[in-house]
Amino acid sequence: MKSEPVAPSDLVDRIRGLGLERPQADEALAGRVRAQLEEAAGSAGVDPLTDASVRVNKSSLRDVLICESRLVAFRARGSSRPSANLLAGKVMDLVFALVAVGERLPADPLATVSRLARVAGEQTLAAELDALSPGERQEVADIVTACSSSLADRWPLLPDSAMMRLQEPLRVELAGGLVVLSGRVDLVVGRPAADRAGATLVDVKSGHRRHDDTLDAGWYALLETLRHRAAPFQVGTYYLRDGVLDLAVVDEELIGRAAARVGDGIARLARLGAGSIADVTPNGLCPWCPALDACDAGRRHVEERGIAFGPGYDADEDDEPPEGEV
Amino acid sequence: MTELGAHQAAVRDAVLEGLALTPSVGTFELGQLKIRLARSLRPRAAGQDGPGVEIHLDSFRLPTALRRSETGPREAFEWNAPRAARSLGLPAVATLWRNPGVGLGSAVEGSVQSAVSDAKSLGLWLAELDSPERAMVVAQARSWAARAWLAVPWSSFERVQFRADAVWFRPLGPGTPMVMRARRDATVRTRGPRGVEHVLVTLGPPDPSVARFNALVVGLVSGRAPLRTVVVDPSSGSIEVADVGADLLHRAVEEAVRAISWISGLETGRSSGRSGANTDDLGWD
Repeated sequence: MKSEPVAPSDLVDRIRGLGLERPQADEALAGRVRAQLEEAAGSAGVDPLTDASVRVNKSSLRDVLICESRLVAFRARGSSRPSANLLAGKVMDLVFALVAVGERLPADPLATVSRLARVAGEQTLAAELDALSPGERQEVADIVTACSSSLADRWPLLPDSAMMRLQEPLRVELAGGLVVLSGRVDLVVGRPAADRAGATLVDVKSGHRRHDDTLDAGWYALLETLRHRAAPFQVGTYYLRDGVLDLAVVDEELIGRAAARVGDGIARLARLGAGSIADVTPNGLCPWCPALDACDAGRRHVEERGIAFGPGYDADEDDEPPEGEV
Repeated sequence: MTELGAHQAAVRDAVLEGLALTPSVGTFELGQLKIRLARSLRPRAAGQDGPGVEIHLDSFRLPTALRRSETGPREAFEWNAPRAARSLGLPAVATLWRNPGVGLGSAVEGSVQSAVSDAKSLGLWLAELDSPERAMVVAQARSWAARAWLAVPWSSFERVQFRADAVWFRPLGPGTPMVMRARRDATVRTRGPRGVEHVLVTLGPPDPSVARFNALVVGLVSGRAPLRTVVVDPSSGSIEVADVGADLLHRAVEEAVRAISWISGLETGRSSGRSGANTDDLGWD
């Protein structure tokens, strides 16, 4: 895994997979994986009469596999105001789009981003940005500055032949629509081909590197495999803060791991949706869990690891556990 | 022919495989459908209040109207990048099909310039944007065009007509207040024994009622029923195929009448348990 910033010309070569052997396109693999997930969805026992489908996305999958009780607690708490990290990430989606089509960035992207968000159809983001206090706005601005200051120098203009797609929606229905897998990947280039894997999927992140990032990449690779009946060529993450690109060639093992993870997630989410009692799995995020006060296992876990209780942490999907924690 | 990936091959087969040579619904039957549609809607039109009140039914509004989930009149339309993406992206796809040597970026830029030159609603909006805002629009249009280009193996078909504009049909005649607006992103043309036949290809989420609606309107306007409708959803890869026959068009008429009746009740501020339209006279003689 490369950990150095990638020069623009090298980045194009990396995304194209220059020098790498492209796996053979394997429609049978896609069929096997779909069958596996259809079985998982069918076994999940989603009741069609309740008309409530099980919706799986990157965040709900991650959260239910970390700790079911934590997921339930967050859902019960309802949506809180988005964190600076989350807003900065959404702003960077817009900034990245500008850079990707060769547009010069304004000196202060955050100053113009509310207007850009409205043009982009992101009315909610525009409203959220307008509602920021000066201090909150500065927090978002600091992250955006850190991520965008070198982006225009680092990110190349991809050739037309790359067939670049930004914010690519991915959606898979299982069990006749009772289970829906959905996601949106920041960048897709290339195309599925007859004999060789073709597409490269890149998740662009404004946050720091996390262990979960490879799991997110596997999730996107799985969705792409199911929708195009062929696995993509490469999948990975581009880190805006330091210009590092992590890509992995997709093989059957990667898809298999992702499918097993999703199958497990479907079963858990279906069970919770049917009202079952949530399992508790103590983990590194316990200190920030809204259910901690009532969770003996979580409190024991925190005490055993010697983490001090602090004020309530405004946890959301962009939470970054301390270095080394999972 | 370039070899296709699994999904593209499936789309090509969906368009061409087992295709009938001629429409199973002839010109006379289309005429009968037109009469029945008008007869069913006329009682509702008679109750419209005031001049200039138009009832528009399009492929976006049809599903919500059938579910009766609309709660009031629609908001005024405003352009933004997602709404402009298809209007700019589809002409770019047409350019790519006609001129394989033209790149995606140039094709989309050509669409933008063309829209600005036309100086219609979209062009006027584009002309007001500053450079970053226009770049945002271009980014989404390029993504839409790339998605559309890859979702369907357009180069597999000899004759394709791309159309971003809607097909308008006034079931009660010119100048009357009810309008049905169909959408078909492309028409794949094939040569049959009696002339050119067509397959409607639309990009978007599958909805059988919308596919039926589009086939009905296109057939009524052109006087020739399409052979088939194919809906390809780029985000999921789903492919929905329907051969166009009498049953399909008959059902489309029923659904259009139900939807228009519901919408007209909303638009005129009246809610009614009865549709007000004559839905009895919809069967074939």
